[in-house]
Amino acid sequence: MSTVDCIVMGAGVIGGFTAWNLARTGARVALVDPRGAAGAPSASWASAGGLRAQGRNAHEQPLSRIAADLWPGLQDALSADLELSQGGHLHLAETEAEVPAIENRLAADAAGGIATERVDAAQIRDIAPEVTGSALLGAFSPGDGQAHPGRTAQALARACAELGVACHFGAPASLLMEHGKVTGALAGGHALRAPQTVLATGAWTAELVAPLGLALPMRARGLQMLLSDLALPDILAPTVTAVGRNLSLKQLRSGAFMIGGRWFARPTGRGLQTLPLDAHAAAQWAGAAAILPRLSRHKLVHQWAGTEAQSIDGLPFIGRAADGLYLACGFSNHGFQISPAVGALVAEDILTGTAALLAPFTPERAARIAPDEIAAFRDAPILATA
Amino acid sequence: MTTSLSPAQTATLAALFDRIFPAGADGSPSASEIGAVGYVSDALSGPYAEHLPLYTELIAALDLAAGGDFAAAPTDRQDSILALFEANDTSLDALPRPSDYSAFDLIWRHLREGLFCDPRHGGNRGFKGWELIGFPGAQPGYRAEEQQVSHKVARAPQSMDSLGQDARLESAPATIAASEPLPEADVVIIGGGFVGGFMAHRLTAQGKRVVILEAGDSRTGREHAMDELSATAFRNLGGAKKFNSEVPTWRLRPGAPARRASMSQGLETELGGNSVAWGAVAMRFYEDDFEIRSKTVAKYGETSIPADSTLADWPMSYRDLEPYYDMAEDLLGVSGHAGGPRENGRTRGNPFEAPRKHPYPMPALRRSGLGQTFATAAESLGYHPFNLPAAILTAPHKGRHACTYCSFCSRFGCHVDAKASAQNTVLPEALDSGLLTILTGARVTEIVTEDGRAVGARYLTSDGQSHVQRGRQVVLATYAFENTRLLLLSRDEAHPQGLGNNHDQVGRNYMTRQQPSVYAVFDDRKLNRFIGPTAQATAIADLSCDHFDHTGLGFIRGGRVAAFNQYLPIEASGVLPPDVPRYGAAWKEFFVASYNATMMLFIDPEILPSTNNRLDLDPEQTDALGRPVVRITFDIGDNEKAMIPWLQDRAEEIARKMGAARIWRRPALTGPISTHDTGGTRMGHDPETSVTDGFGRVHDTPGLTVIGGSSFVSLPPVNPALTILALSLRAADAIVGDQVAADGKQEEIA
Repeated sequence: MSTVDCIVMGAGVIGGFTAWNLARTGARVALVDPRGAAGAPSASWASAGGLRAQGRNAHEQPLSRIAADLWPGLQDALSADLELSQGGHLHLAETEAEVPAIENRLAADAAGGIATERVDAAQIRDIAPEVTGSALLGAFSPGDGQAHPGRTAQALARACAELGVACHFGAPASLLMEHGKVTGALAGGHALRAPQTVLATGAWTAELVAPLGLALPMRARGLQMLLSDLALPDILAPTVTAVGRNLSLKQLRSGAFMIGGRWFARPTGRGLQTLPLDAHAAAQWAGAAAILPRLSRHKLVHQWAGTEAQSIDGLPFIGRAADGLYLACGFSNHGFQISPAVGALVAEDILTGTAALLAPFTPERAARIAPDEIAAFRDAPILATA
Repeated sequence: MTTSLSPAQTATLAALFDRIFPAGADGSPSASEIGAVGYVSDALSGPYAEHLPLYTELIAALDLAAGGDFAAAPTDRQDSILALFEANDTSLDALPRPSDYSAFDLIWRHLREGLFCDPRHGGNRGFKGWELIGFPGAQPGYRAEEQQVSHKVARAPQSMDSLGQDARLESAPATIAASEPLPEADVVIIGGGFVGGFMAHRLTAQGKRVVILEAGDSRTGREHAMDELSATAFRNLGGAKKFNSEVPTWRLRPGAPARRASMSQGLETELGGNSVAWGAVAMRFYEDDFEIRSKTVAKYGETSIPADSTLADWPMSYRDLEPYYDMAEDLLGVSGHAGGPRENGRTRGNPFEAPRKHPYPMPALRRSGLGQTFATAAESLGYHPFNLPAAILTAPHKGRHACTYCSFCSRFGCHVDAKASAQNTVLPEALDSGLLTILTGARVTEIVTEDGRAVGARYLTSDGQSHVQRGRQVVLATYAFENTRLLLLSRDEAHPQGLGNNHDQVGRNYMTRQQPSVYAVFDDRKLNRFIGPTAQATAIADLSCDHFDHTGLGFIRGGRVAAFNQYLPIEASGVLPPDVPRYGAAWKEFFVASYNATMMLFIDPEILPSTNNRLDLDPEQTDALGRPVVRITFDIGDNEKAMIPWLQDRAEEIARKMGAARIWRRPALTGPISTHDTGGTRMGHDPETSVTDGFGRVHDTPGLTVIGGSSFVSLPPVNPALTILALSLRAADAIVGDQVAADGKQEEIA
């Protein structure tokens, strides 16, 4: 038996930043993950790695601003190559009808202190010369960019280990419950005990908390990603999304283009594993080629799907959920950019008992949502219909 | 005791290296300027510490020959000493003389590592070595136009450390460090390589509980990616521990002394085995390979079979194996153009290919510029060039990434898992079944029998404990050497000469591939052959098997000629025409000028089984556990001695047609290199002349299956892996069938 100050379950970016921040204060921490850092099919394994402060929910904006300040220094702090680049984020309107969406986003970002600029067609060509000429107007946030979530999670796990965090990877894990409360975790048959156990376990959370009778208004969805063959590097600096399309597009350091968006993958029935759907891949690729015409001359070389925890209101659940249990899950496909801030704030909350910026994410709000609403959310179809 | 070189010793080494690889009149850097001296002296106080005594002796010998200080001697004096050193001349009496190689061989290899390794290892400082020859190093991949002949590849050299990590990949397969045995399994498999993985996949899919005993550690299958030094020197850097302690000895014929074989490619004795390092050519045998003896006799008469040959038909037909070829190709994700006669507009694929019911799972790898040059020349000579099928993806397949055409394939784990390995194909699914357990660090020493029937395998764990893992069927699925050795070392009353060996057949009919390549240098073009996987090759099969009339030629069968890719500088700098010395401006100038203009036409000759050639236990050499190593007796026979030069003549003709300016060839006998070693537990119907039946079941030992390259009856001019895997799947089905039948009998009795 071992006892630590805090157990963090889930060695993705949220769990990694949480454990790292706790360990840097000198706390004794255990990091538990049956698949290791950013193991498949987790969100951190699969995610496209966009760092986008632009266009976020008002509650997330303060976190996003903190994170944006942290990201540029993380490669040094973690002594690792995170494939970090800051080419900005560009959100496009292709029709007159889409223009108000851009204007609204610019206003909301300005209100939240996010540096997003209005760019016209000529400026869009300067920022991304190969992007479709039909783009009328854009919102551009030059501080945004991209990084590699898997590498980030692995670097965090290494940094944690160097700080003395006990990493329990590769063995089945579950919550340890004694006398009706969470007292720690079981990892590979070993009992680990701690006053607080943080679940940064994404879509896996539902299974872990089920024995407690907790049912969060979340659903698991596989999101599929596509990768093109190699182009010359530095063709597309910003990450790109568009008002009228289900799309995220970026060029990687290698020259390959990565295409994401909210395209759901097919559940396989084997745990949380999902597989890309060809019908979605075709539409996904076509959308990307409409924004970046050169993609019609490229080939698909790789596709995968990871499983994300989506919450019913699109906001994460962060906070105490039961005796000894702290949640940090449900990041709904956009947790990566804010993850350094989340990790710092969760650590602060656990150590000091307060982190005001996390208040809007309290798990208690789940009780205010009607059960039929939750059922409809969970049952929404996987397959997109034209 | 010193642990590194002194400043004076370092000065001598630097002077030596700078005469071997001198600064150029054009200002090009010398060995020490590139960082080779720093690399070697660092390595001598690190991974190469065992070589420090040799360097110390060598430096002393050079200083002595120079009258005290080699570094202070005039360069012409240094050069004359160097010439004697390179020739291992006896007049340098203080020169260290290791038994298996010359001191020059060793330091030359280390020097080349220091010139051309990835800078992360300390040599090739600031990419000076790579810049000199135009090698861009670790690139994520290349576009098609960059592979065109004489296209100028405009890329700044890059270390593997700066690569992005594009592909999303699974982690290392879940394994358990061996200690106590598990309950009796349906099948216990010795060896966690490609064969073990494929059999486990097929067996678990049919509900069988399987335990794999793997001597090595778990690994992801992406080892050595993009790193020529670690891939080619892994045996010197602590890798292949098991194999290094049991490297076979080799002699040409019975009665001759056997010496440690060089085994230049090494064997990967860890999880996944050679499926991590293989070249991934995935080619079926030809239809008549399975009836090699009867077809040859029918066409050319009994007298055409060489007197010393044990040539035999296989105990199965192509049609018997075909469904398993289909299965194996699907599991691997083989890319290729289906072949067949060049008629009805069919212009690609291998015209001699055995008939296939299904197309390849995906299109062939693209043809490189060099491949097209080869194809054009071959076609003009009447041949039918085709792209080799390969277990390398050209489109996404089961979560894997398509090939990026990087520079590192054969002998490297794939950085995007485009090349099939056990880890990225069969092991995840087999483990997902919940029926497979892989025990790592389980070094099998013996197959255990009861009343003459195999019931399990004895294994040693890292703490020295010995255990027996029991299984209803025991499968021996290691490399040809260890398959043979474990049978010979497992004895009981019913098998006093070893399991399977009651007719003295174990180890007989050993065959190994010879690599009598033809090299050619072009004056007028750059080949960009450092781009693309090895298996992105263009080949002709017109000279293979009996695809041409042998009347009057004086030999039977033939070989495959192919232009392969992959040309990496540490190894390439050791490839020289006979008239270029291994040192001095002549070497440097040749290599710098021809690195990107040298082609190798690879010849895979068919090697016939012979009464001369076999594996047995070496009476003197033992491994780290004190058990005898394998002794190889192998020489090429009269058939190969006639056929190989004939094939080299044909290859030279193609090279000339391609426009080569300078051509040279390797000898016909290149010895065992630890790839394509086959035979030793030959399959056959007759227990008097074979060890197992066509399903790998050992004739004289119930409960025991042996499968691998060792099962081969003949060695066609085709890479053996795909056939080994097809045989494995077929053997797995036979085990399932046998167990179903046995269970049925049990029920009847009950």
